[in-house]
Amino acid sequence: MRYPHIAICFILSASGLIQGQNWETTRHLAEVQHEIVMLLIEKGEFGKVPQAANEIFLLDFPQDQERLILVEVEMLVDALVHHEQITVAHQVVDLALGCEITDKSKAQLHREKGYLFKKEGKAEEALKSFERSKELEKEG
Amino acid sequence: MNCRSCSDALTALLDNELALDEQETVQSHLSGCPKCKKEYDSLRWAFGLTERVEPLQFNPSLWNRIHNEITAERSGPVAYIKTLFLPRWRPIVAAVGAVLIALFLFISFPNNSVDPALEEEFTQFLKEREMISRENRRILFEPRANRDIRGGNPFVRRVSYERANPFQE
Repeated sequence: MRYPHIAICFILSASGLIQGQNWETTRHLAEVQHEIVMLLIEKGEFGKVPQAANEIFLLDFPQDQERLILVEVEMLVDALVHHEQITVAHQVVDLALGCEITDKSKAQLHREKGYLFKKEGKAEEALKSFERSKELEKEG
Repeated sequence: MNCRSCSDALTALLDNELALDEQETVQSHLSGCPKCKKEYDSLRWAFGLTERVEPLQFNPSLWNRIHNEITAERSGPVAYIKTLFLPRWRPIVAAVGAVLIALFLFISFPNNSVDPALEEEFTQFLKEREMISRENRRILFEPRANRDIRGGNPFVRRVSYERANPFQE
């Protein structure tokens, strides 16, 4: 091959393009799924919320976009707490914790658990969750 | 008859509990043995003393009462507790007691020592989280009054999550 560097550049750009396309698909799916989850909350069908939210968590998020999952969890938690559905909120956070995410993101989710426990008046568990998040931050 | 069997039979002889032939055998030995005779005389003297003592007069129910108390003490919980304080059981009872007290203290007063720095940090996090929560609720649940969504129909109530969707660009 006379121009290997051109071939390499072409392959890299193509893979970037595919990756970009994949991310766009993932983002769009998540956007639609978010609307579904919010509609379920609005209609008071709280039992279906964890499963619907999990559809988002199971999407293949690149590591640099994981923060969106955390923002999503934060919003769902607030929406559910607003409707006094703390148990469902716990389930949502637990499902998010079950996905393939970095320890840093998991630490953030444990903080959410702490926040929920505090809302429930379980101060000891709240502090334990916060402690766990600090441990994960250190490990990460 | 030897001295030992004679000595054993002396009390029975004094109580008239021996058969006639046994009495004769013992008497025959005593006549020939000064040592046994001396013991016999000593015993007879002691028996004579007790015979002179008048029997005590006591309430007939006394024995029953004593018997009942002894029986109750042997079988009741008090007797069981008393056995725990026997010298040979004391170290074991003390050790078990110490373990139980330690266990009680551990259960009653669990180690609640929390790192104040961690607690402070958590409080700070909660404050920040509450602020985020307020903002999220405002976005999620407050309808935008001026927004005309469905062809300008002002009566349609619709909540927009547009800004609240983190995946929207």
